[in-house]
Amino acid sequence: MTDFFSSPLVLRSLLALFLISISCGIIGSYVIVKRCSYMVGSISHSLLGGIGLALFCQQVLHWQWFSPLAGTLLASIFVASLLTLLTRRNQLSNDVILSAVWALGMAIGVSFIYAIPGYPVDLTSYLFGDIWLVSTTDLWVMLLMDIIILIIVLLFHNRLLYLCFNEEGLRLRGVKADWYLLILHLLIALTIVQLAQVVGIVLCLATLILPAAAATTFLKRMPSIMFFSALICFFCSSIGLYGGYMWNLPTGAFIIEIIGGFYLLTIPVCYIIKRYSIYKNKTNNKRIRNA
Amino acid sequence: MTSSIPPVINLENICFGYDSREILHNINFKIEKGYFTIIVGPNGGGKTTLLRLILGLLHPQYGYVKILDRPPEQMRRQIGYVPQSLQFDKRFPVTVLDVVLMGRIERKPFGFYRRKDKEYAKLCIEEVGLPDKMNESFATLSGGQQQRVLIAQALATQPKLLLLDEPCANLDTPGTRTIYHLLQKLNRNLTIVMVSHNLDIIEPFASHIICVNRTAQLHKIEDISKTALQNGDWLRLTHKFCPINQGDHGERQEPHKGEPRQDYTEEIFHD
Repeated sequence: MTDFFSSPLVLRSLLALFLISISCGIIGSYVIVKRCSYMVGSISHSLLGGIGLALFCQQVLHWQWFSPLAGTLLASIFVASLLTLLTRRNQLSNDVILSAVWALGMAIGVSFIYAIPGYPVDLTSYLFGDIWLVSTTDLWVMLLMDIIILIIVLLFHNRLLYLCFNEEGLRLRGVKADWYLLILHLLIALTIVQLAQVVGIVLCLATLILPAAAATTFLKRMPSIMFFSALICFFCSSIGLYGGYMWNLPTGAFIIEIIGGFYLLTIPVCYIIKRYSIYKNKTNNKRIRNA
Repeated sequence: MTSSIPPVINLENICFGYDSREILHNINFKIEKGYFTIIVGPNGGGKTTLLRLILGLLHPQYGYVKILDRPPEQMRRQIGYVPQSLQFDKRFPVTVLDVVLMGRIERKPFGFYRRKDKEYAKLCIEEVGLPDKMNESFATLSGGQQQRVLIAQALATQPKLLLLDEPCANLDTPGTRTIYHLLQKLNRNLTIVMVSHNLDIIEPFASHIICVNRTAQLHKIEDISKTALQNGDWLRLTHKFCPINQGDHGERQEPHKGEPRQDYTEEIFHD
């Protein structure tokens, strides 16, 4: 245990988990109440296109500045804007568009990676993440993203909440709802870029959604849901990190398993609490009647 | 009404259709200040389309909609719109106060609501008779209470015109009556237009009726034979020139009045 906490690698990873938990808790709550988890899946998977493009540019065109992080950031902003444009006001069937972007992004990424001459690039760390590879620069980037997300959410929380509650209603108040939809999608994209570093583009869907989903089962207001889902995210992912370190498991996958397990546990617990409160009410009523 | 006050809603020669199918044809009416108007008509007759035209969510192919002498897109802040409570996510994590405060959303582009807004929202909640539910979750309320909260939200915008889309669609008779008594009280300061199905209950409260079935006609409530209303069966309304009675069959189509509109106005915002 002392060995675990004294390692600088572990401390850096814990710090990374703390930073992603903040954005995950906040943005995940919006995703849950807006019910747009499919959008998250579509953006996150299509980031492979950005990663492929970045690796191709680095190795073939020798643009050393174009790192996979820059690639994911570019791809996420592009995809989020594109999806906002195509899915706004339900003009086309949204699930088809999301699926198309999802698959196309991945296909483009794979094509770029196979176009790189020489050894095929190992995709595992991009798809499933590797928290031990997080560098100090990455931490600074994560912190910057957290600050951006926090500022935007503090400024626009009321409008984003109304957008999730009733998009048409917001438009009828004379507010440019489409712009706020774009802001929300860009915030989601930014969070996914952060998460892609730690748990990879395939697994980040679960990290973003499940803590907030667990929090919504027993909380009734947005600020508390955001706070507790961030807490759940940090708690579960720290356990995942510990397990991964101690028993030499793939950390990203183990984190998801812990978060998933926690979410599944909330369902029966919530059910039992509900039954108990009904039972208590009944006995209370009986007592009042008898008295 | 003196000519100096413009009508609250003015529709001139409105024609509207999706693609080639025409839904509304040559509609003209003026709703003056203080009217309590009910829109009735069969399913698919164009009630909701008419409401969406008035809101400026749809644009007519012919003719013009004017709200207080201006296009509806510019007057959105003067219109309080009450949607159906059915369409909301039943588990959305907001309190009643949060929902009502959303009616003040356009007053502050950034940050949190001001104390002034909160106080006004509380007044609106008291107005609809739910002061003890202020901090309760919106999801735990009954259908009628949710509808009243949505009315409070519309009131929080301080509108000149209140539009309601079937506010009693999923309510029983007592719940419906509560809402109508509330609306009657609000009608003292507000012009109200609502889409409704059960005309038998609403009839004592309303001042005018718009019958919609491809075309529309505004009637005074006194002009309608009341005996025909007993079962709430508006299809048997017996009054002159009602489009509902004419039906769709064998009707001679009048040509469109005015020029077709090419300038599908972009939505104008003044945010």
